Amino acid sequence: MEKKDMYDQIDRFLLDALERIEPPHGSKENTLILINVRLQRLRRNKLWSFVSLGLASFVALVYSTWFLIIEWKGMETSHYLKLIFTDTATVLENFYNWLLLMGESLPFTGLLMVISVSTILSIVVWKLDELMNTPEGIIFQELAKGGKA
Amino acid sequence: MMSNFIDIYNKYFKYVYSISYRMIGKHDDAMDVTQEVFFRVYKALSRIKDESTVKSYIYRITINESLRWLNKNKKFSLSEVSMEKEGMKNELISDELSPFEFTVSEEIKDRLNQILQNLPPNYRAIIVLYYQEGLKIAEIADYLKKPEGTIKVYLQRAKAIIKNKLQEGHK
Repeated sequence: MEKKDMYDQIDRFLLDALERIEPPHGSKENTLILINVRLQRLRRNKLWSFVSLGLASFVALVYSTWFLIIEWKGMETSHYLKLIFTDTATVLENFYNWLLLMGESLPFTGLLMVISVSTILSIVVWKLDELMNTPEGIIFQELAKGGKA
Repeated sequence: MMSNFIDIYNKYFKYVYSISYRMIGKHDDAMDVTQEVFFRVYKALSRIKDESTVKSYIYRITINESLRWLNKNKKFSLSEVSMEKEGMKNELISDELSPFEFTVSEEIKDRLNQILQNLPPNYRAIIVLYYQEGLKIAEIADYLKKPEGTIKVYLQRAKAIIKNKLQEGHK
């Protein structure tokens, strides 16, 4: 017997023998329930992490703002601004000192600001991505593309 | 989104279960894989654009999840390695081929299922996708991320093993 003929026989046999298996009765409904439970758990976890991250970024923002205010006061910038209109000679004299003070505080305050702003931005982007996957978000995307919702 | 998911779920549940069952061989484990597949489909739903993408995505992740499950649970044994070698050997010995005359009966189907469960996972996946799902070699190659030539060779080897094992059991 030719090898090709033999494989043709096996092909026919396997095509006949390997039919799709029917899932047991009720398994379809049960699996859907389990998927729903998992999705609800996932949504709850996402909500918790969103709330915790939002709270943490709020605390960071309050702290960095408070720190900036203290620094601002320490630098006596408001006093310096007043002097611009009253005593130009003193302004020029103090300008160098003011620049040094600003330079000294920049690394720390800058870092705090970057962390706060990037945390807030990442939350906004993440939340937007979430919202875009909701039915309203999909309608919004369609409208933005110029199509009909 | 949910109604769209339900449509997909109703349409493909049997396909996914059937492939997982053939790959894993146990109802409960096949159900776990089926659940994981549809959970991933739901999460990816917004990125899936059309019907053909849905089908190919579902086949791909069903096979991947089944292989991942088998790998995690180490369901392939040393005998599969020897089976792989046997497949290669059988392919080479073309002069000793004997006629293959089996008719499909419940007993033979059970025997075939047992043989399938002992095939190396990649061979099993190819047999299931090719004969049960009626996919083309190119599609299987795409899903399993292997060259078409490799799929053809694996298919021939798997068939050689099946034939050999069926005939061994018949003697």
